[in-house]
Amino acid sequence: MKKDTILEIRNLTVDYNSDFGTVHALNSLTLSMSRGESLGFVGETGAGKTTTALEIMGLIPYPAGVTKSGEILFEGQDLLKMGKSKLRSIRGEKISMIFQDPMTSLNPVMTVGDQIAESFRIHEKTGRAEAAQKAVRILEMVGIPGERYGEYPHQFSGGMKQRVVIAVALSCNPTLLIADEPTTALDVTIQAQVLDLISTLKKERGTSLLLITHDLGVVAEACDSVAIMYAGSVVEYGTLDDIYNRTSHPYTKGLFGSIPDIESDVDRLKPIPGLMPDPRDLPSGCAFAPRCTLSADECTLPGLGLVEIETGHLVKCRKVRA
Amino acid sequence: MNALLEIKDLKKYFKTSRGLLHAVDGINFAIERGNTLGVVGESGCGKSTLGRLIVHLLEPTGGKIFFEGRDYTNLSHQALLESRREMQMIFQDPFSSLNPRMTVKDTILEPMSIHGMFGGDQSEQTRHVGNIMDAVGLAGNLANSYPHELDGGRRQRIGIARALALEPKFIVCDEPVSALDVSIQAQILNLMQDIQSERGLTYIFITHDLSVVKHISNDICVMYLGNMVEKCPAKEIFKTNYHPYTRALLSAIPIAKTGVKRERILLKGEISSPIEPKPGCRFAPRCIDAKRDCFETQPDLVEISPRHIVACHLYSNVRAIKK
Repeated sequence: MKKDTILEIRNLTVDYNSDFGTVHALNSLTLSMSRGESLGFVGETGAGKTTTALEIMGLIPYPAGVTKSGEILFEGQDLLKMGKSKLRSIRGEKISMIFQDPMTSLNPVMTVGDQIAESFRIHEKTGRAEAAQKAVRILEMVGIPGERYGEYPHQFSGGMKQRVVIAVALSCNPTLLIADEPTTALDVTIQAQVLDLISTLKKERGTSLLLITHDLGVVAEACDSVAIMYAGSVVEYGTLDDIYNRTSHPYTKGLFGSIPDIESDVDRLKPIPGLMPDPRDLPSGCAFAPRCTLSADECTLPGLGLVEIETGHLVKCRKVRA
Repeated sequence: MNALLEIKDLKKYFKTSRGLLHAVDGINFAIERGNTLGVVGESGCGKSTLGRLIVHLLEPTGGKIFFEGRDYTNLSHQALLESRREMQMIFQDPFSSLNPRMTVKDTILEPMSIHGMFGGDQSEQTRHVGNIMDAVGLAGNLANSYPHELDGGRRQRIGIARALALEPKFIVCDEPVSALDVSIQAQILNLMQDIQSERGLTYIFITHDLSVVKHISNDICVMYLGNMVEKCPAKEIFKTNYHPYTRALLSAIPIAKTGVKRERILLKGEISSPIEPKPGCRFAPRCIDAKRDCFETQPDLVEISPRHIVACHLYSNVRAIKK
């Protein structure tokens, strides 16, 4: 374990039981984050990004979601073994989450101010009046005039609602902030405002950030290191520089080939052939092998793990060697 | 000019309880045969309304639409039906734009039987369904599948196949790849380019994603609150751009590269209301360069260089183009 590791996930395996078979959402996911770091967690639909976030928060839907194995160490304590009330005291205070859709993650019948004040009242046992004062302060910090304390979510635009969600998440000064696609539902100019806000607040408070997104551009702007997810496990991990300038895993290369570049003129994109594998029936060995141009017989063998190809740059591929 | 489609001063106002909502407010452009015009803007700028006006899913409040030189603005029921053979639309959401109770084959077949293609010969029509499925990369064994059995990328291929069924000349594509993952998005973009060059199609490509629109279009039209603020060749937009909104929009796009140093223009506030808009430039309240003029009169479009036009008072010293 690195010296100042704040979060460490080891061999986390999560299944969802459904009427149509067992969905293997996470397969031996291993990941670690150090204090103050911003980690970009990138993958496409169904890669297991949100499941990871929900696991950390202890919010996996019950009874469908089953944690088969693994541990999530937060400041050295295993969140999966923790009692419900202990977990509840950590959630919202030390670890908090910004959800993707600001339209549905706020309570429509509660004023935005009260929604922020609520977390002070619960976690810091603050009195009503003081909590309200603190809520006004935090509203202003995210760029919303304090007078709007008494307004309801429907009176706010999408970008403003996302600011409210950020205010709620940051109210108790968490050590770890999980942001699940925080800007996906927003327009680019508003996205720029929100990303700017998140990084300013992060710097001021030294919060660690787990930024879940499918957008490699957002990661380049906001993160120090990157984990690329495919079919429930990390396939490549490294610093921003490792991933963007020394891209190694064929899937990561495919992702970069799929994005049109606004700065240069490319006539044709190079998409990844095929589709994501069915999470109920993952191929044995490397899950990416069926779509991979480098795949060979050895790729179907089990027992594939992350290998460090250079310091701090990990790749899960038999064809990529240091 | 060999324009396939031309629109003149096209307007659409919607009645609301708080007054008239100016969704599209006087748009002019022409698209040449075989080209793609990208329309880009943020939510609420009127880009989807514009697309729907062109294919007559909405009736315009004012202005004219010309298709192959003929006035297509007010069509009789019969003429409207016939126009569908010329113009089709690909919708954004491949989940809600397909009939869940129709198989892939039926979905593609339906427009052909409505229009009595191949003289109503069903076996000929069925053969054509096979050809189109081939062209869009749908495996033949999916013909009897229902949309819920397929993923987003395949569903969008059905949407494209349905639009191609009548062999139109012109397709309005309204955010056709926005709901898709990047690796699938790239597959669909390549497919749309291939189909275009094989069939000589003309596209209007509506999206909020500037990188996508720049990739696929010949010309780009940037919209803000119902107005066109800038239009230029796609390859030019990143290097040479004039309107403060275009600049802010470009600077806001996160680029997937490290060490990119850019001047970020952070816009103040949010898009204002399109209901009973105030006189003057629609962008003025958020513009960093706004002068008094900008709040009083609406700027005319001026041609700064060939095919590059912009509506902004900062460039009012440039000769105004004739309307």
